[in-house]
Amino acid sequence: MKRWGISALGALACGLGTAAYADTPPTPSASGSLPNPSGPSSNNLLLSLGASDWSGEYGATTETDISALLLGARYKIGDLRLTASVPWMRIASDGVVFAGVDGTPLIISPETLTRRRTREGFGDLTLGGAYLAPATPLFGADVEIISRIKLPTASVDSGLSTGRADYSVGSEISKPFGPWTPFVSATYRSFGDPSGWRLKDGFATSAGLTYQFSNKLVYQLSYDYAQRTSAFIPDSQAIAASVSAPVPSSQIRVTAFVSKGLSNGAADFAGGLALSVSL
Amino acid sequence: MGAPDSIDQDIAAILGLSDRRFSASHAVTRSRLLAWASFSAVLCVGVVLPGALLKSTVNDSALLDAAQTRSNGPFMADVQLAERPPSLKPPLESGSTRRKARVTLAGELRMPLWRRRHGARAAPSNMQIASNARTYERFSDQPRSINKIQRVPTGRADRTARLEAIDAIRLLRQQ
Repeated sequence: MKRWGISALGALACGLGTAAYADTPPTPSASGSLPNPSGPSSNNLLLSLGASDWSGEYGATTETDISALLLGARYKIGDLRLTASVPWMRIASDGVVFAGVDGTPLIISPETLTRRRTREGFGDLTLGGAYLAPATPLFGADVEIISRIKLPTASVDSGLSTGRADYSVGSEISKPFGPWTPFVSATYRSFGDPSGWRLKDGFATSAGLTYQFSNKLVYQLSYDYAQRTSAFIPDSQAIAASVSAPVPSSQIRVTAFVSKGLSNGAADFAGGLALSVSL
Repeated sequence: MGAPDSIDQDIAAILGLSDRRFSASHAVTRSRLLAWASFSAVLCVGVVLPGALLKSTVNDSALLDAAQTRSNGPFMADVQLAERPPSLKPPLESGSTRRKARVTLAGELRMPLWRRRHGARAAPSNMQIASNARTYERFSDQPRSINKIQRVPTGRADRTARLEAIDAIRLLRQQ
C-alpha cells in the first residue's frame, strides 16, 4: 500500500464532503413520514473500507512501519451489533510483529537481531459482538458488552498471523450530558501463543469524551492504555482524536482518526481514514 | 531512526524534494508524513464537513430541529411560510391578507394565537388544511400526507446517531 494512500483518501473525503453538503430539503420517506433527524442511522448493515497506519520505534533503535487496509462490516439486530473484519497488512520491521485482533498491530518485540523485513498479505479474520443494554433507569447510562475473537485464518508462513486464536471481552459505560458523552471502557485480552513466544494477557482500557455536533457529526477524544503483550515492550499509552461525519443525501459516512503515542509501547503516530456505507 | 525506504523516496519525489534534500537533515520521515496526512484527514472530516453541515443545517433543518425549540413544544415543527421567498409563498386565501400558516409535524394546522384572540376561527377548516397540505408539498417537492403523526424523539435519536458514528470509529480504529 502506498504511504500516501491516507493523503489521497483525505482529499477524497474533502471532495465528497464539500460536494455533497448542498442544500437539501428534508425529504419525506415513501411512507409519507418525515425523515429521521439522525439520517441513515437506522440501517442495519454498515460496510466500511479504511486505511490505517502505525509508525514508531516502540523503544527500539529502528522504526517499525505498519500499514493496513481494513475491510469491515457491522450488522445490527436490535441492540446487538455483530461485526466482522479482515485486514490486509504490510509490516516493515526488524522486530516480531503480528496482526492482532481486528488488524491492530501486535508488537511482541520491536527489535531483534534479524535484518529489517517486510511482509504483507491478509491478516486474520476477526468476529465481534456488542450488546447495548437498555439505559438503566437509575443512572441513565449506556452499558455495552463487547467481545471479539480473532480466528487464525491467515497463513502462518506469511509472518502476519500468530496461528492462534485471540479473544477479548470488555464493557463500555457512557452517559450523555446533552451533546457531551463521557465514556470509559475496559477490555481483557487473551492472546494465543505463537510458536516460540509467550504472550501476556492483560487489560486494555480507554476513557474519553464524545461530542455530538448537530445530531450528526461525532467527535471523540480518548486516552488509551493497554498492558504489555510481552516482556520486551512496555505498556501502551496513547491519546487519540476521532471524527465521524455522514455525507448528506447519501448513505456514506467518513471517519478519520489520529493518535499520538505517550509511551514506548505505542506507535509514535497512527492515523486512518475510512469510508463506510449504510445499506 | 532507520533510513527512509524506497516508498518514502517516492513520496519525496511526489512532494518535489530532491534526493539531496531528502537525505539531508531535513529528511521527510515517514512519521512526519503520517502525522500530517492524519492531521489533514481529521481536519477535513472534522472542520470542513461540519462547516458545510452547519450551512445545510441552517438552511434546511430549521424545519425539523430548530423549530422543535419554539413555543409549540418539542414535538412540533413550524413552517413559517411567510419567511419563504415570494416564489414559494403560499396562495393567499380569499378575503385574507398574507398570513402565517403553521403546519405541524402532527399534520394539523394551528392558527396563530393572535387570530384566535381577535375572533377568528379557533380551528382551521378542512379547506385550510388541504390548502396548507398542498403548500407543504411544494416545499418538499414530493407528494406526501401530513396526516401521519411523526414524533421526533430528540434523546433517542441522538443516541442512535452517536452509536452509528461510534461503530464507524471502532471499525476504523479496530477497538
